[in-house]
Amino acid sequence: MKSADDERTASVIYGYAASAVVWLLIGSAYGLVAAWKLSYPELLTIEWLSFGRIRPIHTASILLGWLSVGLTGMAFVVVARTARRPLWSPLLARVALWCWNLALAAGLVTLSLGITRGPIEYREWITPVAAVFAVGVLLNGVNILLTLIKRHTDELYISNWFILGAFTWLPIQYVIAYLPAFDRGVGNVVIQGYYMHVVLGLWFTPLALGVTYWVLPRLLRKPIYSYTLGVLAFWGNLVFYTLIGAHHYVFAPIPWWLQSTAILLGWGMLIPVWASVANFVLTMNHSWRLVRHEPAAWFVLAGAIMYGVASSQGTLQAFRDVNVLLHFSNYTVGHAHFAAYGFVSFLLFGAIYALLPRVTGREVSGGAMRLHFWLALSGLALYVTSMTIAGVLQGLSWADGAPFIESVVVNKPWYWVRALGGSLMTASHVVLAWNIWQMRPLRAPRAAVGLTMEAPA
Amino acid sequence: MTDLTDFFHHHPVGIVTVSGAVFLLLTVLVAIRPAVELKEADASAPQVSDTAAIARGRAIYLAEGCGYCHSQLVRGVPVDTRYGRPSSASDYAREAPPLMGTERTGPDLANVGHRQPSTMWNLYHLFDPRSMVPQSVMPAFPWYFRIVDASAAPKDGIALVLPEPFLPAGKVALPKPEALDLVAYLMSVKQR
Repeated sequence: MKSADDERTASVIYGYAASAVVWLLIGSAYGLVAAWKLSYPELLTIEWLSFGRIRPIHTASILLGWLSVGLTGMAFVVVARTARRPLWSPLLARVALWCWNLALAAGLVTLSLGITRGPIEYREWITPVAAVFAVGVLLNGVNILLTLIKRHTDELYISNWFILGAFTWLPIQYVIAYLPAFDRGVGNVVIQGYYMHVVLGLWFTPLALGVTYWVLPRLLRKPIYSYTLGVLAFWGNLVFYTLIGAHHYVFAPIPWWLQSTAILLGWGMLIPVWASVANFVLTMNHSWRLVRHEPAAWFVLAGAIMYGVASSQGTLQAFRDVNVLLHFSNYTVGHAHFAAYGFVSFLLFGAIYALLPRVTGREVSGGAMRLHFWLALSGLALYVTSMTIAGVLQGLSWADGAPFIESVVVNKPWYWVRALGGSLMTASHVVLAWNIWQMRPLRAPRAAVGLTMEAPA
Repeated sequence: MTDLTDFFHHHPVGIVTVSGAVFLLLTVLVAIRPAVELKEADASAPQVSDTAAIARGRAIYLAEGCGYCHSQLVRGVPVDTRYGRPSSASDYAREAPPLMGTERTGPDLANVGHRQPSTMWNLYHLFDPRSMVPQSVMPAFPWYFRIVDASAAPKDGIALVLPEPFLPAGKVALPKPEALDLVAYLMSVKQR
C-alpha cells in the first residue's frame, strides 16, 4: 500500500518534471529565436527580444530551469527508492520548487528588461533573484540529506554520493560566484572561469551521473558493472574537474601557472569521465536485446557516449595550440551544446522515461519516445556539426589575417544549418512535453505502484 | 581505502563534510587565492575615473549583452596583433565586471575607441549595423533613437539621414541620450 507521504512525494516529483519541461520549452524558444536572428538579423527587432538579452535567458532557462529542476526531480526518485522511504518532507520539496520557478520567472523578466550583472555566464541574474534560487537549492539539499539519514536501508547506494555531492558543491560555488569582493578586476575573471566550469562539472554532471547510476540497473534489471569504478568516478570528478576551470581563459592575463595547471589536469579529467562511460556501456553489455526494446536506454547509451566524446573534446580544446585557433569561435558553442545537451539532457531524457512511469503509474508509448529520440539526436547532430565547422572556418579566417567580416560571412550557411538543427531539437521537446503529460499521475491510487515498494537493485 | 568507502556507505553526513571540505580546499587553491592576489595587484593600477556619460554607456553595454559577442581581450598571440598590444591585468583593474569575453561573433573591441573614433559612424552603426556593414549580423538598436520627420529635426542637433529601407522617405533618426552615452563608452574603450 502507498502511504500518504508516498503519494505526496510522487506528486511533487511530477511537479518537478512538469516544471522542467516548461522551462525546456521556454529555453528552446529563446534559443531558436537567437539562432534565427543570426540568419535574419532584422527578425523581431524588439528591445526585450534583442540577441544580447535573450542569450542569457536561453542559458538560464535551460541550465538553471530545465536541467536543475528536472535532474533534481529525478534525484528525488533515486533518493526515495534507494532509501526505501518517501522524501523527508514533500512539502519542503514543493516550497523549493516554487522558489526555483519564481527565481526563473523573475530572472526572465529582469534580463528581458536589461537588468543584469553583465555578460558573466550563468551568474547574470541580479543578487536578489539568485538568492531566491539559492534558497531552493538549500531546501532541497537539506531534504535529501535528511531523507538519506533516516533511510530504511543499511548502506547508501553510489547514486546518493553523487547527489549529495552536487547539493554540497553548488551552494559553495554559487556563493563565491556572487561575492561582492570579487566584482572588480581580473580576480573576477578567475572566479568566472572557475564558476562557469564547476557549475557544469560539479552540479549538472554529478546529478546526471548519480541518477544514471540508478536508472541503468533499473532498466536492465541487473547491478551496475563496477561499483568501484563508480567510487573512482566520484572522487576523480571532484578533484580534477574543480582544478581546470581556468582553461576557459587561456592566453588571458590571469596567472600562467593557473592556465597550465588547468590544461594539464584536463588529462586527469579523462579518468573519471571514461570510468563512468565504461561503467555504463559495460553494464549494457550482454543486455543489448533489452536495450534495443527500451527507448529510455537509447537515451542513456547515447548520453553516455556523448559524455565521453564531449569531455575529451574539452580536454583537447584547452591545449594552447588548439585553443589559439578555436577560442572565441563557434566551435565552443558546438562543444557547449554537445555536453549540456548530448550528455546531460540525454541522460535526463532517459531518466524521465525510465523513472517517471514508475512514480506515476502511467506508461508512454514506445513510438512517442522513439520520435523524441530521433528528432533530438538528428537535431543535435546538425547543431554540433555545423557549429564545429563554423568554428574551424572562423579560426582559419582569423589566422589568415583576413578582414574580420569574412569570418562572419563564412559562418552564414552554417548558421542556417544550426537553426535547422535547433528547430528539430525544439520539435523533440514538444514531443517530450506531450509524453510527460501522458505520464501525469493517476487520480485513483493503483496498488501496484509505490515509490518505496520495490527493493533497490 | 575499503574502510573509508565503507564509512561513506553508512554516513551521508560524512560524504557531505569530506567532499565539501575537499572542494573548498581546491577552490581556495585555484580560485579564491589567485583572485585575492590579483585584487591586491589591482590596487596599484592607475586610477582613472570615467565621466558620467561613459559610466552610463557602459551600463547600457552590459544591459544589451554586447559582451556575449564582442571580447575585449587581446591575447599575446600573432592572431590578435591586429587588435593592439596584449592586454594586461591592469587594463581591467577598475572594471566591474571585466569584459574580456569568450566569443568573437563580432570583432574584439579592446581598442575600438582607437579604431572607430567617429561619433557619427558609431551612431549609424548602432541604429542599423547593416547601413555601415552590409554583411553584419549584429542586432540593430532602434529603441535608442527617435524617428521623426526631417522637417521636425532640430537644426543644431545630430540627425541620422539614411535611404530606404533603413529609414522611411522623409524621416530622420535622432539619437536619444542613451545612444550618445553608449557611443561615448565605445569611444573610451582603449587599451593601448
